[in-house]
Amino acid sequence: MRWYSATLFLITLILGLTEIASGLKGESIVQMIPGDVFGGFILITISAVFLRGLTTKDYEPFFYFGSTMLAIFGILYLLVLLANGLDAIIVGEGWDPMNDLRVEILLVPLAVPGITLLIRAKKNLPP
Amino acid sequence: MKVAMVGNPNVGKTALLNALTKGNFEVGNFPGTTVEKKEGRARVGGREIVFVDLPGIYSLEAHSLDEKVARDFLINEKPDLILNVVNASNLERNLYLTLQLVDFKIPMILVLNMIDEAERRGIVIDADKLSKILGIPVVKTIAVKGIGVEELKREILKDGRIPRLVVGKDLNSKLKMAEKIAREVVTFEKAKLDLTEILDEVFMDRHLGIPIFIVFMWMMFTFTYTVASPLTDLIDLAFSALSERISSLNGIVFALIGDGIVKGVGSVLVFLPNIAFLFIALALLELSGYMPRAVYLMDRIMTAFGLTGRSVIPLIMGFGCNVPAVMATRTIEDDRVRIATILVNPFMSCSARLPIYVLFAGIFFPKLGTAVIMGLYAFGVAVALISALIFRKVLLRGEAEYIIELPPYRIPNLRDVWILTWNRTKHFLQKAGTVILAMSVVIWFLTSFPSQNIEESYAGILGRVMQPLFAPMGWDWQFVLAILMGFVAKEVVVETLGILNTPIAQIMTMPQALAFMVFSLLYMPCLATLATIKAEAGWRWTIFAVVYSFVIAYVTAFTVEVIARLI
Repeated sequence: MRWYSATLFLITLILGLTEIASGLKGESIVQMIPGDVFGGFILITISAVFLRGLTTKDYEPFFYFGSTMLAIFGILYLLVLLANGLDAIIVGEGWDPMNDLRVEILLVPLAVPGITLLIRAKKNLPP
Repeated sequence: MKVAMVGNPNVGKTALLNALTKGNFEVGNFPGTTVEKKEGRARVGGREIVFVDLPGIYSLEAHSLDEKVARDFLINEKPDLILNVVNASNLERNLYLTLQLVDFKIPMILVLNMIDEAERRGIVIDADKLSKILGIPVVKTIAVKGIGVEELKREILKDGRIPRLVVGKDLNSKLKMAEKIAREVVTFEKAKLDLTEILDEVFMDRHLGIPIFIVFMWMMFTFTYTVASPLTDLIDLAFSALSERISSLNGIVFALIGDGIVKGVGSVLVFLPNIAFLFIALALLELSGYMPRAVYLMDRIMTAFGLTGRSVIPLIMGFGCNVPAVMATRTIEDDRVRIATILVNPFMSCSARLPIYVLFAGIFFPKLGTAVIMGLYAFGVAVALISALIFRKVLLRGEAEYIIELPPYRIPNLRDVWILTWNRTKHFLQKAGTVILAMSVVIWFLTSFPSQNIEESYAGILGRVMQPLFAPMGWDWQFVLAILMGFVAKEVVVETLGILNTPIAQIMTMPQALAFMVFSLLYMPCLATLATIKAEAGWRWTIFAVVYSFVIAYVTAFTVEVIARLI
């Protein structure tokens, strides 16, 4: 799965840099990749976790937790999307879910292999 | 029967309390202190037992407030039994406290908790031998799973035993004895790789540790403020509608209830979702074992300013709202550091001040708005850290005493998370709500009499009377009134200027606007924050916070106005 870890590293790095560039520019460069400097920083951090694993012999812990962090943030952004939708209903404002749909949410399925392997590894550890 | 639960931090006392009382425990404070106290009741074998969970401590030498509270409880309350809860993975360190408890000559039971984690690490403890040496019952438990709890209850019914062990009074004797006992009863099998080691490779990595910590803080921030916002808006809408409904009825009593009491209660309850979500996030971080690692990672940076790693989380939370941020300081063991963190927290620019910056930056700095706002945030952080350094060197002197222990990671028990969150949130409501309620009535009176027109009310008169004080900054009376109203809640500053239809661009210059923003950043915290500071630190420090922040804000704003005018 080293190659898969390398792929995730590249994806999160590119997306992170794009978000930062969009954030500094003040507008989204690519649709669904928002201009968000801090969001980009988070993706860069996750990419750094994958990269750190690729530079060591035991890459698995970094792959597992890079994937876990990717999933956690995707789910959190999903919660934000749902919260904004609910908020719009409560205050009676218009809301377009596409405005809150971020690329991080779509990355969650890519985290599944790493999380699956983490769960399997945990089961193989002593109880 | 009164049972005191004593042990080091992170040994599972809360989980054990939960297991023994089946969740029937309450969170409060020890009398006259801000130290958290958990007390629960259970019927065991027909006997009513009260369990008091004392704060996690490493010794009873009373160097910290926690240690003092625990020691005073044992001396003054004279519990019938001590449950000394010990982390089986680190027996020697835990035994130091055990040997101090022996001196109290109170019947004891030693609870060897987290025995599963010890076994995973290859640590095997001969509990029978340990029991013989100490002269007290020793019970193995896994509190989060409820294992060993029934056996513990049986031992409690037997009332424990007064330890027979003779221990030297001094520190060295106790340390040597703890080491000797641990050597006799602990054997090590082949160490097994466990999840903690795997996780620490990532979370404690030299290069990744701090960025990962920042990422988790952002996550907590987003969860606390953005995900909670529908609930916040719901409460706000409900109380606004109720307030309008009641105050639309004729009569001063309805006006008092609607505009004063309901609005006042609403202004407290609107924070409730944020606080509850914060406590959920903090409970998850604490119970998972990650929090001590975060503390360790940030400790060196914070120590340079007289704070500790534990101060970081409350300070970061202050960017959202100072109220839950001040509450979050409860995790700081050293009382001096905790007070310092509380005092500087209001300088972390909360989200309620953002509308002020956006309004004035939009008018006076149309092209540099973002840079100006970010500069204000950075300035607030700088003032906070410098103030902390000053407080720790002048008012709250002394080296912070704390131990950072890295417990094993574990999956938080959701029931423990819920119970901890509920009890802490309830405690906030009781403490902060009383002061807020009273002040809201006072403010209603000031803004409603002698005229309902705010310009002609006592508040408006006050604005005109106070205006000369702010004449050096060149602010008109409307801005002074807005600043005064910001005492209730910072959002009210912009609201007040809106109600007064203040032509900001016409009657204010750029230097005055910059000074106004700086003043808004630094001056005294809002009512809700003050009420929380009072609950956590007492009246003395609350008054100090008001005076100090006002002076800093005034001097800084004046200086900024003068310099900006000269440039």
